Amino acid sequence: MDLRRGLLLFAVLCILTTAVKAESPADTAGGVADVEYSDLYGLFQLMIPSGWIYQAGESSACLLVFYGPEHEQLLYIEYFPELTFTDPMEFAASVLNHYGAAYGLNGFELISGPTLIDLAGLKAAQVEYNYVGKKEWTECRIFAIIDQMGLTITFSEASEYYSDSKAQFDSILASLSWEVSK
Amino acid sequence: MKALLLFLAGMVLLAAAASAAEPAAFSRFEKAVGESAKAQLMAAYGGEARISMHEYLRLKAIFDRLVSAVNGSEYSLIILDTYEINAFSLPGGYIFITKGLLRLAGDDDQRIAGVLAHEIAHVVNKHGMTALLRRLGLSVLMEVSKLVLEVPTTQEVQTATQALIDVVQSGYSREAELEADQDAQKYLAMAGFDPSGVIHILSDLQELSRAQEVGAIFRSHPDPAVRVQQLLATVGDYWPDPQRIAEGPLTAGHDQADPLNRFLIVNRNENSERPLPSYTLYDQQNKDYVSWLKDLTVNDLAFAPGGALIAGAVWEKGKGDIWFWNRQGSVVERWNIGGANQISNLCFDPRGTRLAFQVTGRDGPEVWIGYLGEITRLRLHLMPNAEIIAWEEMGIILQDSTGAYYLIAAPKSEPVKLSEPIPRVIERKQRLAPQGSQDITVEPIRMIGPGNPGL
Repeated sequence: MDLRRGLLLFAVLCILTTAVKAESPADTAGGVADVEYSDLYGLFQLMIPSGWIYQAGESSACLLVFYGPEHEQLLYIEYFPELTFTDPMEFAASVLNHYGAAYGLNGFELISGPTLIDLAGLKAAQVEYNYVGKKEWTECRIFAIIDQMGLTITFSEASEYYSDSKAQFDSILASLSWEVSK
Repeated sequence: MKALLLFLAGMVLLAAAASAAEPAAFSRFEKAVGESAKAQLMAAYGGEARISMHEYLRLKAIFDRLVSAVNGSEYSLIILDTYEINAFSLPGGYIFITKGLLRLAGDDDQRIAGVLAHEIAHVVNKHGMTALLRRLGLSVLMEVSKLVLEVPTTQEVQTATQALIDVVQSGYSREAELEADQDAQKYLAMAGFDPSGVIHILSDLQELSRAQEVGAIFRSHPDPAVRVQQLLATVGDYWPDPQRIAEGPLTAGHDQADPLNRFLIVNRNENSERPLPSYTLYDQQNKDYVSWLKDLTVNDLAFAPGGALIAGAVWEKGKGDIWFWNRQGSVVERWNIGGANQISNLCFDPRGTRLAFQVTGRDGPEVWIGYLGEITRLRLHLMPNAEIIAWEEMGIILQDSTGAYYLIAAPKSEPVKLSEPIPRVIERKQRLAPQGSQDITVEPIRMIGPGNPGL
């Protein structure tokens, strides 16, 4: 093999290796790729990053729970059939009233929102707040309404790690699509 | 005697004066005394409890429904931070329930409604103020009579408060308790709860009072067994009389087909001269009759919806009882109906929580209802010429000898719904991994399915 052929072969191998890496964003912890998750009711789909674990024991017909690989990362999605609200901002405001009431969340503190956002083409409301449970938590919660079905998508993390973890939630949310492939 | 007459006369005059001349003044005094006693009782019982938001909202929804049914406006619900099993109320509409009693009632809204309805009845009937006046005697009449004209002084409120706390801690009179029980049943029915709820919580207390695990108030109340008997005697009044209806049930027969299609009900006396049927079960899987009914005379059998339970009218030692078996043949519950009466036409309600049946006594067949897992069994109506043929969503359906259908509608028992949906707030749980083991990453399953959640 001459030098020219050798360099060419090396270049081809480099390109191939890079291409395989790009197609398979394998994680370092589990060696498993991201998973496209379609919900049970065919409402939405999103990419669940590798290392996130679906919690079957904590989930139910109206609740999906995932644990993230770092710190106290938690993603949970709750369904509300036959919702009377039609405006996600009103839905969010009503819920915040309860969370902030005397019987509501301990140590509730609103950080931001409700803010109107575009969630994959659908108007949704986003809020961020702190509360005290077994430890101090920060949550980012999205309120959406699709065909009279209410949906809340919540990212929860121990307050001290929230700012580090928020990017993961943003990337999950960015992958959300209302068009579900069958 | 003279003093008593004076006292009673004073009470009547006071009530008349307060209601006719200045009703707001008496209410103000009630509120002031209640408010003052509230603070002291809360301190004595560990203060106000913090329970989960959803538990609180469910409790509040039950409370609001009851308050709305009695047209009450100024009622407050306070949850006390103690595991003592207790509930009480104060003039001015303060209703207290302890965490211990909430734990006892569990997730049964009807039981919780039963407790709250009983306490609301004390307020509506002014049992606190009546007991207070009785305890303080004539002297207070003089003081309270001033209320018609002026605002009570701090000293008057303090005296009354201490007396009220004594009253609450020692319990109301037997008559007041029995009246509150009866009114609780009425309020439960008015608010769309099962009037049996108060019976079920009282029967729980009856069990606990034997073990002395309940608070002083329940110990000093009339014997729960007496109260349960009194309520059982009247709860049937909330079931309306049979109404003639045009059409029969959607499914004929009374639960005689196994929903799981394993057992067949067979009448052993079908070809004999004996007038009464004697049923058994044929196990299609083992191709044999079940052993657990072999030595019993069973006049009727019915499967619960879903088939988990089988009810049987058992004739044993000259009397009829109702037994419940699981599918393995273990007896899980027995109802002693009593007397040498024949029991027939067993019929489960659509949720499998109640059983209708007929008891044929000297006067003819009577329609009875029983609650599974509860003490409540009640005779509803004498229906000499009709038989129970089904229990559907609308109620119990009977058919008479001419083929006409009748409906006995069950009291409405509407589920508690929160007026607005409140999303859950979940905390991540600690992982329970053995030491030294590595976390196992489980892939989320790609799930696609039809339908709507919870519908």
